[in-house]
Amino acid sequence: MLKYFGKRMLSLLPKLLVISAIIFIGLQLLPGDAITRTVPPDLYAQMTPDQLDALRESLGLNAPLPIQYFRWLGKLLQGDLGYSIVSGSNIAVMLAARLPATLELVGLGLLVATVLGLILGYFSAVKQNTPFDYFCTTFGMLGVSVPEFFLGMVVIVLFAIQLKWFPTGGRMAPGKEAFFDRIQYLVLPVLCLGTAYIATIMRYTRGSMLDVLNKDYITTARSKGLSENKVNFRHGFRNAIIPVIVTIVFRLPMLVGGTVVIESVFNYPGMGNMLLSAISGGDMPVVMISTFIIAIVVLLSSVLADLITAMLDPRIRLS
Amino acid sequence: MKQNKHSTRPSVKKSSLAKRNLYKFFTNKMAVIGLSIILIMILSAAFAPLLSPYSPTTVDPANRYLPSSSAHWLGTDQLGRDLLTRLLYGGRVSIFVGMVGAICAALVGSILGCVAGYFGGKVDSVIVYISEIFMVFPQILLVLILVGFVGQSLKNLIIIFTVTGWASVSRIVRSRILSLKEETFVESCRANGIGGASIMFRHMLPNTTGPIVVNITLATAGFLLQESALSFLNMGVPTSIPTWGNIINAARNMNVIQNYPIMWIAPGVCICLFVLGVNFFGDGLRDVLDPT
Repeated sequence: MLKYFGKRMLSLLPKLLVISAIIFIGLQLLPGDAITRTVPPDLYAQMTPDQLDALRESLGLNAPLPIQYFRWLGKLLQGDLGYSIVSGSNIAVMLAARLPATLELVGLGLLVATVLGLILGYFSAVKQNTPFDYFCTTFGMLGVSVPEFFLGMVVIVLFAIQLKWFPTGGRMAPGKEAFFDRIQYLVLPVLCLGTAYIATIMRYTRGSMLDVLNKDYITTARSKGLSENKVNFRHGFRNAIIPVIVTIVFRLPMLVGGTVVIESVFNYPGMGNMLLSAISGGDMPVVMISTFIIAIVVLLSSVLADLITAMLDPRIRLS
Repeated sequence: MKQNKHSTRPSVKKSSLAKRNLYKFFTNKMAVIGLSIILIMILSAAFAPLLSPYSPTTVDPANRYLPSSSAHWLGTDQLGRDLLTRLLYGGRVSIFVGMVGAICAALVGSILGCVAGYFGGKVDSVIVYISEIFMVFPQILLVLILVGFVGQSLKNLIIIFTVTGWASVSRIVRSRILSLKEETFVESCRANGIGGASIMFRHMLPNTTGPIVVNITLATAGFLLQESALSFLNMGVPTSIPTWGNIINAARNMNVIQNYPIMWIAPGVCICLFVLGVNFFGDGLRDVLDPT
């Protein structure tokens, strides 16, 4: 198992290198000198051209591009992500404030969507062609058809403005920063973010369950006299879940991308909002570094999914 | 011999397959409902100038925030423009962007997928690698970043959708081509000395139209959703052009959201209906064209 894990992690490296190279080239294509992104702007304004030239030499900006790239990568690994061209603040500091908020949103969205999606899909398949199944299939269709921002506006008006159950947006009230106090701020965004994902997971679970329930070994299990629950869960669900997990991870970028829209609707101070203002403000270093971080998170989660599938299905880790 | 190869499928049988497919499609209630929704919306958007006497962009300050009446079925917006008219004209742009984006992405995707699957080897690994990297990034993020780079316009948006959307089609086509490569008709084409390009695009690609058409349909809905989200975020189609997303974006202030809900609910419902219609239609189409 450990060996399998190591192998999967190693296979990530070339991909990360390629993506980082693309990001590096993108940064080079930006207008302005690389110095403007490595020196805090207030300092930059006071420097003479001679000083700048000396700095350029000492920073290695006159070196060939590949060497610059590896130096940049080294700095990146040490946590030096450069500076924003708009506000001049350190990107690492900006991220430290925003990343946890978004991870919280995505993590909870993923958890809620996976649990609900699996449960709904399971029962919808087991109780095929009952009113519950029809309800689930309809929800599955509606869930992927409603735009997230529209759903967000509807729930804000309904549950925050009319019923006043939840706040209209934000992440926390001043002074009340414990997770428990923040839950009320998370309910609506997480649900809106998760809806399309729940629907997708549910549809796949249902389909996969129905496939598996038609297999011969299910008939065998039934003929052994096992209880219906045992057949459905132990023999059916455990096998049906494997392709579903692959789908969950394959569609993860969809969930991450949704945060941009949801954070804007709910005024949630996360990476999505930061990214949006960076894009509209032309702050490309922030945009590209954040995108790189997102790519890393998505890639890592794909390894995690491979591990889970390998745990569930011994054939994969042995092959 | 060459002639024989192409006429092994008698035309009689072909028409009966088409008939069977049509029958299969039209007995699928959801698919027919979906098709009707899409057709009604496309036609009413296309004939907007005939259906509505108003202009979608002319500001009329005397008639702001009118409630619905026989003159303005859905009332007017904060600048006195007829809401229904704006929805009709907005549908034109929204549907156009979605469809053209999906078709262009499918075009690029099928060519690349075909080339990758047919040639295999290095060409294949490069194309697959690029498509894998594209799939790591959330598509809406890629689109947003590219919009930041090249600026907002209708043309740019379609180009961006093409650049970011080809990967899924190329995967589908590639895997189809890989299995087609083993078929005897390809071998016979080669034995007859037909060139690679002709085998790829004239003999093999037509066999993948089913999944491609299904993908174009569903991608139209996906791109329409993305366009509306982008416009909602002020990053999509320039705000001077009405699209469903832009109409919602224009209604994004607390006064309008609370007191004139129709101004954002109506375009939202339009988006939902169209996407729902496309999804129903696409699922029905998949059952007919791509049963695997």
